[in-house]
Amino acid sequence: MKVPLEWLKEYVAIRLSPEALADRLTMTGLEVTGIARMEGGSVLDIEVTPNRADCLSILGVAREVAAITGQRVKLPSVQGSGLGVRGKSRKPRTPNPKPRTPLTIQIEDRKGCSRYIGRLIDGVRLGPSPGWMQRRLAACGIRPINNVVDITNYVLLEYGQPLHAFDADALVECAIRVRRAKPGERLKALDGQEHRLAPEQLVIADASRPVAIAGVIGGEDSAVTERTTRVLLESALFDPILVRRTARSLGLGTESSYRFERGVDPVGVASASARAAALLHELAGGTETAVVDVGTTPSARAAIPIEPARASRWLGRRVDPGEIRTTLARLGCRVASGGAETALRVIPPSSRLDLVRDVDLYEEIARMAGYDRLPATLPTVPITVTAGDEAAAYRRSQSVRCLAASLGLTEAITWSLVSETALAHCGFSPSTATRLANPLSQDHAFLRPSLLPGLLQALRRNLSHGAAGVSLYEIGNVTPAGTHEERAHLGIVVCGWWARGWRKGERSDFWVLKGLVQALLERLCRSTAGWRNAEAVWAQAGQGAAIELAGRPAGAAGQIARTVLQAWDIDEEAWFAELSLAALLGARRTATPVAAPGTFPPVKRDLSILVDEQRTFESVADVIRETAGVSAARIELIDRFTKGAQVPPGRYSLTFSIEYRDPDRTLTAAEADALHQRIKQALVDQCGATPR
Amino acid sequence: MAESAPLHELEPLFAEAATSIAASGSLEALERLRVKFLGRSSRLADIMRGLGGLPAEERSAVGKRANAFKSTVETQLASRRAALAAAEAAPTLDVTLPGSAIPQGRLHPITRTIDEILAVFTPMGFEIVEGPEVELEYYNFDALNIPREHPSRESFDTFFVDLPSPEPKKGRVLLRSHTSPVQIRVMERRKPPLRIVVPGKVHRPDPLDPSHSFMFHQVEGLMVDDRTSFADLKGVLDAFLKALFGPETKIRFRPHFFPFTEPSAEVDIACRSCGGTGCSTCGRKGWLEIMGCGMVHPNVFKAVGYDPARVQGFAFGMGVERIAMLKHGVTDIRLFFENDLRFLEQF
Repeated sequence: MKVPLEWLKEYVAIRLSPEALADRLTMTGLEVTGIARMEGGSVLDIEVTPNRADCLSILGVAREVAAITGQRVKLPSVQGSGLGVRGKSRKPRTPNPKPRTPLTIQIEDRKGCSRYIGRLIDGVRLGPSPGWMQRRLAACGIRPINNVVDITNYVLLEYGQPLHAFDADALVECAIRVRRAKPGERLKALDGQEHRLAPEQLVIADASRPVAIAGVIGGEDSAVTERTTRVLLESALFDPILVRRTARSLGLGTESSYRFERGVDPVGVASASARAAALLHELAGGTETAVVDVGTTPSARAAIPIEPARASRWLGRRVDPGEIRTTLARLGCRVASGGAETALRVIPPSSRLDLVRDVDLYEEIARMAGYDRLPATLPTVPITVTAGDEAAAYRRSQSVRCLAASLGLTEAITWSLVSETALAHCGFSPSTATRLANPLSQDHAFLRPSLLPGLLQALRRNLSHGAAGVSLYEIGNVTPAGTHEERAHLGIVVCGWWARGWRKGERSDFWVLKGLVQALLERLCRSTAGWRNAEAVWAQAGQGAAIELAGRPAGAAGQIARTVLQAWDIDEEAWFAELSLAALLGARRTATPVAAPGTFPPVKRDLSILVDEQRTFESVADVIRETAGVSAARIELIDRFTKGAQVPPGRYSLTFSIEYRDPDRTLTAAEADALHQRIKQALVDQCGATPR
Repeated sequence: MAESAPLHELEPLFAEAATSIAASGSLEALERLRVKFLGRSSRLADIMRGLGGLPAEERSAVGKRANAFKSTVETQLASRRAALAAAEAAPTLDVTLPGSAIPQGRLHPITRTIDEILAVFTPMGFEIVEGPEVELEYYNFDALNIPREHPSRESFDTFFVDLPSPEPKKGRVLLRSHTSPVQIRVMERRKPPLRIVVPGKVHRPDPLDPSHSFMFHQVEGLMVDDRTSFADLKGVLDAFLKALFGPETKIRFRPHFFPFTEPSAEVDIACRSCGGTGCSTCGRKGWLEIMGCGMVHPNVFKAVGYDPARVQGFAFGMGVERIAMLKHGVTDIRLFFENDLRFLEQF
């Protein structure tokens, strides 16, 4: 809302500099976002919050300034502007020779329109409005058009009451009907568009057709033109919700709809109408020939009870009845004693539709006192022991973040909304993915079903900037196809150098990825996962794995398919894992019993065998574990090779280092050898192994 | 008895030999020292050769000392020789070379900022709680005293999800536009006193530009009991902002409007670039908006089944990206979501 200071000063005395006034207004809730210097003085740009519709007018701002500075508001005159009419008064024209029909107004929809005042002004002489009015309108961002239209806009800015001027001779039978639109009705409005009207929309109609969309915009046919001599001036009160719905569905936002949506002062309907009529007489030479006022006049507002004790408790500072009386009186409230000894009853001014209950008045008291002058204290509430479970959930996901970072992965936060192309490029089906009803752009139209698209985008970006190695993780929610149920996932992508230095380096591959996942699992849940070959839509054939924790699916890992990488313009090989955070954290064992380290020394033996290519490592290790039982403290794979002189075709070699131990006594070499032999035999028998 | 002449000559040699052996820098120099102190033409050799001409008593004393000298020097020579040999075999370490390549992981700056914020509130007894990002209209708006068809909803443009609502009475499915729905969800299942902080991701249909993103993060706070006041809100946020931005931070509270609080306030800190005189960072205002807050509106209590006559308290909310940008001088919000390692590695 633009407020020219010279206009404001017409209603309230201001002794402060524009900057000082701006600061006072900002600190009492009308934020001044800028001060423009224009011809005729400074113009404040005020950001009016949705609750302060009363300040969408110069008078409203004047009331606020008066309250802050302890002044009174001087209301505009209904006699005229008092500012001159550019030297000559506009004489009334000779009366219109057309036969007259009397003005009639009918409100058919009382819910949509509670009051309608129509004034018929005859003998209007169209022309430009005086310079002072044009300057004020321009300073407020409204283009001057002609004296009649300018007067309606001027009074709208002055009172915050939207007005409309019809060419009365263009209205069939001069009969105004406030009604819902009929099916198929159309209106060419002042925006130049022909609007198709819907039956839930409220219109102003004459005897035969709609001539305006109530509270939003007037029709072109009935607009005031150079030839207009008879004006019907509308001042009405329309339902905020109806105006809002209509304006939205037509894609129209006007000065009028903006104010009706937020609520206009019901008392202002009549005074703004009278004020505009006076100006039409003064500046356009019109004579009022009829006034029709239908609907309900505003009833007295309900009193709001306010208890000083509760106000004090709410604000954390003593608020006594005296302060309540003086503060609220400055804001135009009427304050009376209430029933109880200290209680007061407050009747707010008609313009303050936002003041409906006690807490609204506490805010008025607080802002008039100045928020900065209220005390700041630290709460004194007894300590409570909270349930703790919810807090623990956050801490756990945070611990996964820290752990992943400590393992050498950099945390990424990628867009949770992805494009159809991104989904398709990862092998996901966009047709089943959950999508937005109103996306901002097609680049971000789907809820991600996986962390892969975001991480691939981050990978591509870093590779395109010449990164030699990219190791990223993200923890975030994903939405599986067709649902609104979010799941927290951990995603990891590795590519290029995992570690590079002058001594030795390591390039990322499946084993680096698996090592990371294993380290996470080891640290988070002291649990080992089951890995088995499995395909994934994004994985290279034969290079993907499904991960299980405690027998439940926990995620997938593998090499990203070359076709996927090509679609993303990534030339390097890359590996990806995605795990369910719930599975990861759910497998966590709390208060695990621990064993004291054994005091008896272990005996180490190495074991090299050849097995068939088809045999998995895990099946060999299982045989060793089962055969050794508690006697093996540690079983480690220390070498594996598939080629060489000692390796016949179709076989490969595994070397284990096994630590034997007896918890109760020192194991002799002979006993260890016997155990070792048993294991060898078991491998021969059960795995078809050949000892080397 | 006066000290014999040979003993008199021998004694200073102990110190001389020890010093010069310790100072020797090479095996060659060490060999020269051996010849000097133990060789055929050394003082020791002279003394040994003269032993026969000494009286029996003196001969024994001089002989003992001479042998002691010999063995001392030999020991010193041997240990020095070992040290020099070792040094020649392994040259001095170039300790300026880089260490082994240990992959360096990092937390995202937004995660770090959320941590910093939460770390101020948790010691004050605030419990960390989270809630869903895919929400229902009821929790995002209605229960927070933001009625349908009300202009106050305009400040909260929202992404709707193209799915039927699982609870049609609670409206459409949407991406939450603020973390405040978690207030409702927590109050619905728990009774006061409550002190929670809620970090989380939110979405609003704002096109991407240097200061807007359709996805960002917030931290929300709520404290509800039978006595917590607006003065307490000021006290807690004053303590928070001083902990986050430094004890000298200038803070102001100014009236604002939020549908779910009354009174409502916006909190500003004096611009860190200009100190309050006005610059481009603060849009010449001298102040930076940092968070919104207020006393929880009685209608919100009513929505969750609390008795508005008996409970009161405050709520606050802040944008994490904005705080991270101010703290680190980041001028483009999009940098947080591009995940360029050259950016992330600076934190």
